[in-house]
Amino acid sequence: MQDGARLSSVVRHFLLAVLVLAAPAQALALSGRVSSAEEGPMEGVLVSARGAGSSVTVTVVTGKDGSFSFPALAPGRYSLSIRAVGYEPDSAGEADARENLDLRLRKAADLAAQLTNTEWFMSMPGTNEQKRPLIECMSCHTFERIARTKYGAEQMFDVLKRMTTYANNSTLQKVQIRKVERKYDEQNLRKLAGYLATVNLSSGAWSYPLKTLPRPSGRATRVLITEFDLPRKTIAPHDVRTDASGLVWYSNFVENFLGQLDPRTGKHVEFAYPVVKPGAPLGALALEADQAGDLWLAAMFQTGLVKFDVRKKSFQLFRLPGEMNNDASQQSMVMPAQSQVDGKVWSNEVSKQSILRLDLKSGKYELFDPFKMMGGSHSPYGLVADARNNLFFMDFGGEAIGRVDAGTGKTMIYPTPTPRSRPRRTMMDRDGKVWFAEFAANKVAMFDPAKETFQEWDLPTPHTYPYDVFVDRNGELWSGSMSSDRILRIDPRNGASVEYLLPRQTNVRRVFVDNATTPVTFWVGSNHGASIVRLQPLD
Amino acid sequence: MGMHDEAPDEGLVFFGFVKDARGAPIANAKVTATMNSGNSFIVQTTATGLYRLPTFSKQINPADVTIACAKEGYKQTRVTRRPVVKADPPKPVETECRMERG
Repeated sequence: MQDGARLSSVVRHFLLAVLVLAAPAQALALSGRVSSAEEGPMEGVLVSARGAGSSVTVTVVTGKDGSFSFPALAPGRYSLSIRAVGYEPDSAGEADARENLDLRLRKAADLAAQLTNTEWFMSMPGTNEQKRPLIECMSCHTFERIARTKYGAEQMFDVLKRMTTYANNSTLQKVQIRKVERKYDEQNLRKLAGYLATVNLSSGAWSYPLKTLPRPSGRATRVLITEFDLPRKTIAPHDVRTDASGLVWYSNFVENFLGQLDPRTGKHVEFAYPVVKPGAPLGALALEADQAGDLWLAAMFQTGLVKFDVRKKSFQLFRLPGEMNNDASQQSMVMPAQSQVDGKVWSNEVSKQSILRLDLKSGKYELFDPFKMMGGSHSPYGLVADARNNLFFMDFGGEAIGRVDAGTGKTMIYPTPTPRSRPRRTMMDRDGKVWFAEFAANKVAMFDPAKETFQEWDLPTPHTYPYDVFVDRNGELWSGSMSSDRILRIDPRNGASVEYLLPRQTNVRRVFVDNATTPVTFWVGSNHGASIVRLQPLD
Repeated sequence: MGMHDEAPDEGLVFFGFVKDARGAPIANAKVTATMNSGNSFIVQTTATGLYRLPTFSKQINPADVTIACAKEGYKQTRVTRRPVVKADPPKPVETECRMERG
């Protein structure tokens, strides 16, 4: 009896605790099931809710039985949307924060409008050789845009020629014209134009069936995604990172602002830095932090580097001097992470396929030309520094990573095991290993500087185009597809992978993981969608 | 857009084998090609002891490139190459790096 009484007392306390904790959550949660006439209950459907007048959209994914359940939402009306390729909602969705819904889906009237670039890659006939140049197109827009044109080869060539005058930091909302057009090979451009005229609507209809990727299933459905819309459509967040206080910082690819978002309150602040090269495209690419926690931007066509003192909220500009500066000059990368070692910050000069190093004391830049000894095409891209401020750089134009010795300035080039891999962005783990995305090889890879050896991991879906990779505190890899709206989570020990689908078309660039939460929290910018995306795995 | 398309590889190519004293291939050996400038390329041999370096610039004189091989438990004994002279257009340079235990 005594035991029973004690037990019931324990149970009562437990129940009370559950009720108190869950009162705002379970009891009032928006929930329901998703089904269709074709499939019955549907797994892997993304259900998104956005409060009236809010800039925040919360997304959950249906489980095996088609059910979904939101975390606690503030009382009020929510507009609902879904993502399930091939389907659309039966009726315009709106719901109350505590409703239980039965969402019916029907076949989508316009499947082409739902395809990701990866699905266009899968659908369009042609050889990989023919499709390869398209990866340049998706930096700025979807393939749907190309597929819906009616241009013949000649008109398409004119369009492509016009595109060579656009800066790579252009979006549909903000086209930026380069001071000098990109170099191109007319024959290659004509070949591409000819190919595109066979896959668009120039003959009146698409001659090929539209193929789709499977919906998320199993582990990929156990996730909570929150999108924070930024106040202007033109904002193109490129690199996103959080600081120790949980604030989110991002670089804006097409405007001279450093952005800051407080995800707890939704408060958004922009810090403007001056235009130093009038007439050149605006905006920055890489955003990195130094050991003091101050932030650095690579100023792209504005040239030079920009430092933001986080405490004083002030900028310091390190301009690229006139004799080094030309109309095509472009600093896309900055690496200040170990600048406390020797007072030097690494960068790149895209127009010269070279590495730059800034001396903080004198403000002078040194140029290193690691590709001088090599044939073929090269482009130094992602940068990372080791504990002695030796630099590792990715050859995005080719198939190697390189190292510049901080002391001697000598370079070493290490070709990747996979040819034409086009290594893109990179990070260093606590053991000094260099992790990077092989953009054109559909792999992520690791270089061990101590052993001078590589290891590569295949990604599960072809045409993923991973831009970057991040190793979290558990040793798991996070990457994102620039073309399939999917975030990848890979365990490098056994190769097991999960692909989380994002609710909207999301041109994924730099990826970031906040290791301070349990489980870890993944962050990325929607480069074309003017939003910051937070992904919280539920396991 | 085709602007990034690789230019034809017209430059100098180094390739070859790393072998032990008896002529058997050595896998996973490190091969370093060092320029006069001190800059270098580093690759590993395959299971058949083969290595292939990325294409050098046409400006590089093959005589200015030093090939060396290394692996734990081995020491390099000699490196041979052919052809040894600069040609236009450049001819692939084949090397053989021999190592012995110790």
